[in-house]
Amino acid sequence: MRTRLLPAFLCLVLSCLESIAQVSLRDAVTDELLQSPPPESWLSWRGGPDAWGYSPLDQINRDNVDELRLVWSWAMDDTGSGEAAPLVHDGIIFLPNPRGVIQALDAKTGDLLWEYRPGLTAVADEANPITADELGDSAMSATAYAGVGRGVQKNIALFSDRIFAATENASIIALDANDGTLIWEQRVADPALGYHYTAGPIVANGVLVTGITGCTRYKDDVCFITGHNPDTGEELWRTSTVARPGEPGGDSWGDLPLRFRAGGDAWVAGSYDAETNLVYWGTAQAKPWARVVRRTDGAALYTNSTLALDPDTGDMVWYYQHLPGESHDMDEVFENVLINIDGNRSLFKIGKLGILWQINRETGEYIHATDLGYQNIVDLDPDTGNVRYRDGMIPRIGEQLNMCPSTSGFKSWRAMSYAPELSLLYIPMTLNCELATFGPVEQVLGGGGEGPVRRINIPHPDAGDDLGEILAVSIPDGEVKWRYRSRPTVNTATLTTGGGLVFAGDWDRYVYALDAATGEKLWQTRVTTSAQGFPISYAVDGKQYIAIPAATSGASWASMVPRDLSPELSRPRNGNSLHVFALPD
Amino acid sequence: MRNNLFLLSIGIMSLTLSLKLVAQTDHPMHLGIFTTEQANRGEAAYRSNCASCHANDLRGNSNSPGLVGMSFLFLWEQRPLAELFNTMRVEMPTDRPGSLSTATYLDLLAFILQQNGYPAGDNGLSATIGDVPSILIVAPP
Repeated sequence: MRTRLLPAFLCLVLSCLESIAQVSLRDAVTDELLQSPPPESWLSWRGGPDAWGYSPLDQINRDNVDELRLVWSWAMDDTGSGEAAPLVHDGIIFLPNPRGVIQALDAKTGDLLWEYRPGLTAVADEANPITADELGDSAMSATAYAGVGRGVQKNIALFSDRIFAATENASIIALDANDGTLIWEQRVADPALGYHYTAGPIVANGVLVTGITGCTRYKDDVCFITGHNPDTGEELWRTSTVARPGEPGGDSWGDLPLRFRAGGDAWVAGSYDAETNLVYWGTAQAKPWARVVRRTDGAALYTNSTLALDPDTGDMVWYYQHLPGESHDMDEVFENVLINIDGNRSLFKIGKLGILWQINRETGEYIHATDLGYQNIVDLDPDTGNVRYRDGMIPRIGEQLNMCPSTSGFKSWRAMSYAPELSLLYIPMTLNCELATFGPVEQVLGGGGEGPVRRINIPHPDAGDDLGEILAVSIPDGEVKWRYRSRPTVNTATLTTGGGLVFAGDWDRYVYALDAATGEKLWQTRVTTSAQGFPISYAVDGKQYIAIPAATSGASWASMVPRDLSPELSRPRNGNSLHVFALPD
Repeated sequence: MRNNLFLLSIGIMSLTLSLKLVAQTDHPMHLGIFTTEQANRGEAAYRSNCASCHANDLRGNSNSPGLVGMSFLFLWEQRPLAELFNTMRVEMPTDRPGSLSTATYLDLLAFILQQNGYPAGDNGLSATIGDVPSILIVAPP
């Protein structure tokens, strides 16, 4: 009897195991799951659709975080700037590398499950991938290094049983989340015109929404955000981020023809609120940067704005322009953090100037703003949210400005996070200024761009020797509760957890945990090269993990500012990697 | 008196213009300071090491300045060619500064100059260019 039952028992066990393995790879991600992500997962680039950068997991907490140790690490492709925002679902990490590579790893062990390499990985029959022949001269060399622009891949999206990404060739792709097979590739724009993606899609009400970048050149087209059918890649709508002549807001560019209306790049992924059924997406400044160079002092809608879009139609339900007629490369394009507070369905945002905005995300009306006190370019009216350029601070060609921040900004793509228990935002800042002299551009098709700037990075007068800062700011009042300062730049997004912790890392290879309530450093270690990217937390089999990317390059914070202002610090030139930490068993 | 002053100013302007033309004609950058072979090699190196930031057409992107035309001259006119070369060698690529061979940096400089319209010549750029502060960058002929 025992002998006869054994095979059946083994079969049952094996069947169970097989079943678990299949579910762990094939548990489809639904809209409902994206809206209410299980605590053990990290389903959207900032954890949830509201972009809090928050994990409710509390196994790792203030009392035991000093026991944290490395569980596994993974060397990523050293083919350019790493700004990875990993996702986790069913015990699998999906990891974006530079140059379009995506890997799936066992989140518990670090074993590779599959990887997608553009041009090398198997493709489905109907995938229709872009070929090198098709790209011609607009192709990036196979060995090219993704520096601060094309080839960077920040976030990807997970929906149904597919991974979605946006490429250096201005296309959007869908992969089978089970094995990395390319299912479809949808051409969105012509990379020969400068278009490319560095931010990936989000999923909103079943629609893939993605913002393009590389919109700096003069051409007979303008920047945009698109919605796509996740099943086929079909483009459902396209909404311009620049007001066209003759359309509402079109006169905000003066009499400039369409071809000379550049910028409005949407290079950071947005957020989605299912209750308002609105996607919130930021836009970058107008190009060229300086008013005098782009030859209009108009507001230049819809640049440097937060846009609220209907994900089903792309209709712009409202917009809020933070800095009308921006003139110094001060992006307001960054993450949109959705928080309900004091009865307000709010959207919080901070741009390069270090002004924290609170907007009503149902109506787009201004609620509150706090100038965190480091910039010297504008005066903010806190009652209205209007900004006015200070005397002498609007650039003129060839005249040097002493401006804070530098064109690198105090804040960049390194996203802030939110701790709901404390009602605090944790904002990674780089404290720096610049002697900037703006120069002219040729107003011809194919010309334009940002405009040249003779730049000399200088320290911020209020920062001493410190370049890095994490600000803990209470909302909605904007009061600074504590400041963590460091000589190196803070070089990652922040991550908050239910354990009362804030995780981040710096240019000098340190990754650390701070007490969310006080800013006290409770744990730190060192990784391969600069900590860089988006730290996340997840759990597998009841065990909590913290994953922190490290990487080189990565826009000017991670290259020019440290080189010029902290020359005594050094880092390896390679070392893109992911480091996963947990408590001892 | 007023006529005399006018004629004098015209004379000074003509003299200045003539001197400028002579100076530009004799300027080493107008006489061919790199070879076509260097520039051709530089194009390939540019594609691999520079284009993802400065763009395929050298017009720049984000915080990476344009390397041709008005942008190039705004940033570099009247500054030593040696400074441009040494900046490239010490600071570029920003993520791996100094990681290319000296010959490759020279090829890249040759490519940038070619794309700006400076003529190639029989004599190639050599690393000694980094030690010659007296050659100031002027507009292409």
